Amino acid sequence: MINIENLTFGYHKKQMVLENLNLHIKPGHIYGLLGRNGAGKSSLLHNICGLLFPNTGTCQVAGKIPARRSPEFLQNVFLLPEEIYLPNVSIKSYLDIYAPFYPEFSRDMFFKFLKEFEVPKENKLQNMSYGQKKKVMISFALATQAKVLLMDEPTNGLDIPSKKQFRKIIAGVIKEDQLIIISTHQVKDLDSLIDFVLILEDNKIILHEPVDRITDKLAFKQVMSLDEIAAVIYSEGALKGYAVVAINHKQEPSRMDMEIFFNAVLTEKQQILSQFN
Amino acid sequence: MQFSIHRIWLLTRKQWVENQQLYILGLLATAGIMAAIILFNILSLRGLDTSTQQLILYVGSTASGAVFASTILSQFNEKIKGIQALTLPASALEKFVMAFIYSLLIFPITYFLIVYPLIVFGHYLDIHVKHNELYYRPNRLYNLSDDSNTGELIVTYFVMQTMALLGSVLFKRYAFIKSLVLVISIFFGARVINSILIKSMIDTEVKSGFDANVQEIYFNNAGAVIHKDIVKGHFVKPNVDAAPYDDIAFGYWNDKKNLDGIGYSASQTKIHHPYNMPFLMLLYLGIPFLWLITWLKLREKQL
Amino acid sequence: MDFNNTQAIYLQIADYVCDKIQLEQWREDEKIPSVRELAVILEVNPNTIMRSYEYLQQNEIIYTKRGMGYFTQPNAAKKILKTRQEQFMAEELPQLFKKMQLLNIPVSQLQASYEQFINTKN
Repeated sequence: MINIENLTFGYHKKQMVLENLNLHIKPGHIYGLLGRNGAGKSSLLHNICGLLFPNTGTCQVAGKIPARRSPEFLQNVFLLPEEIYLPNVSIKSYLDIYAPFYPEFSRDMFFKFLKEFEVPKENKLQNMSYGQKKKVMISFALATQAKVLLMDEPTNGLDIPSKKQFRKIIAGVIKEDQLIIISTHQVKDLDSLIDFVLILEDNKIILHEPVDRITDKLAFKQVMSLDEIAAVIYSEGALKGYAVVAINHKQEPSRMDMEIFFNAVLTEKQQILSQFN
Repeated sequence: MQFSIHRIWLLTRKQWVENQQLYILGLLATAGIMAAIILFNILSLRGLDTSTQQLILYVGSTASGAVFASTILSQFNEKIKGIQALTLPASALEKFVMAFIYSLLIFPITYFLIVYPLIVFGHYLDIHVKHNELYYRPNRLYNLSDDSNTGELIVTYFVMQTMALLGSVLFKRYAFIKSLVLVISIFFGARVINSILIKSMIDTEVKSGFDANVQEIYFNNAGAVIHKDIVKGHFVKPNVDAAPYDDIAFGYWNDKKNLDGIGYSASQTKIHHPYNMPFLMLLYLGIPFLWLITWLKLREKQL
Repeated sequence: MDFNNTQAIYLQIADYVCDKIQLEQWREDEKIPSVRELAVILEVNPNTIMRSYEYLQQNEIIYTKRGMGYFTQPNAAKKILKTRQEQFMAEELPQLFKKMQLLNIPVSQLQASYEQFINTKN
């Protein structure tokens, strides 16, 4: 669904944000795009949806070239940006003016999501809080039924019950021919939803693995002392002992802690990545 | 290149619904300012004469139209608004046509429908209440079809709006100021360069004047031609701030002429530019060319 | 649902399904929630639920009827009880013994405590 080859992108000629990046993604999954601040997560998402054009290399999304921004492409690739713009109209007229641009738009879905988020549908958009606006935009994005949904920090600004609602909605909405990429810092909110992990570092995707394969190769454990476990790659001191990432020699199933995994990849890059070759 | 009338309609409706408050307020403000200018002119010594009416109609619409036009496509420049504007499923051509419809069709028509009645009303006050007269004649009401310059003025309006549209796509920040500077420098630049060219070709610093054969055309009060004649005329000093497609105008030729017992006077004489057609064609073709650039720029817009 | 941090999520979900069956909230040989329904209830990726259901199928706790969804096996509760008993004996009991030994608690003392526990519960 997304085929990126040797993509290089930079705002200035001398300073590249993405360099020789390759990425091939298939539908039916929820991808978590992780990376440090300024690693280029948003730049990558913007290249995928046609807001930015690659300097060199090719990018193909849903069979089309994003930079051409054809209406059919834009109907099928929806970006939910981190900061959103909403005009000063009611939810109803927002729907009236924007929904017809998306042929697959489902009003029923939209109002169902709004209800689940507990957003009153009579409101004017400008009078809403940031979190409320975000919920309207999330509901709209999902109701377009776009094949590729790119979400930049979707849970920013959502309170705890809303994050729960968000997880429920996403879990119920993803279809087999659909693809969701969520770029996030708040891994804890979403780690039960994500089934593929992408890590953007050093201007390229250094890791692209299903969660299953990560837990096949690595064991995530909590131990009182580091002696209890062999082949430790990375550990973090916690209140009750250590959170540990180790080589999974015994083929034990464990639960991946995405935050610790991300930290482990950044600090012990070579060791972790060599497990997946 | 995708083009769908339905999506253009959707874009046009979206633009209106999102901005209706602003647009209605803007129209009211424009009407208010124009009403004040009209009133101010009625109270002046000359009153609301025909050329002032013409000025209000054209300069007013061109200036306010340029401000308006530059707001439509500038939504693509702002970071947050721009993401939404650029990823909205419509082609760049459709988005451009929407801006075109607003700045080149809806705006001038709306302006005319609001300001012309004000002028008509002002004119009524001017002749019936204040009894203003210019050269012992009551001011005439400006009439589009009487004005030989209507075509040129409309072209000028199109050029200005087109430049404003282009400028708002071309420049990221201070788009309006920058496009204004661009327009002024092109417009006056052409005039200055042209003056210099003319001066290099013909002697404009004649001290004693010179004689030449001229065609005299006599007009009546209603502007109709009643007589044409070729006579020897005397010129003092040419007025050389012409555009490349203009005839060259000469001032100071103000002979009192008499035809059938009626006195005629001239304020201006022109030397006809025999090769002005290519220049005019260039000017007319320049407008769609600028539209093309605007569309291409919009297509390539990145954030 | 709150997942614990150590066990793989798909196994925790399998446990959740087993709990439901053991507590008879989901009856034997009856339809259980679809993959998507359970994904929404538990706020997890449907692919993870898929994996749990596959795991439960392998262990003959549930089965699938084509086009109708997933059903519990007729003897699922019994099977779960048996597996869990074995699991308790194999994994949890040694842990308990280890601790009892450490704290010097004789097995005979447990008898009384256990009876007391049963009595107060009834």
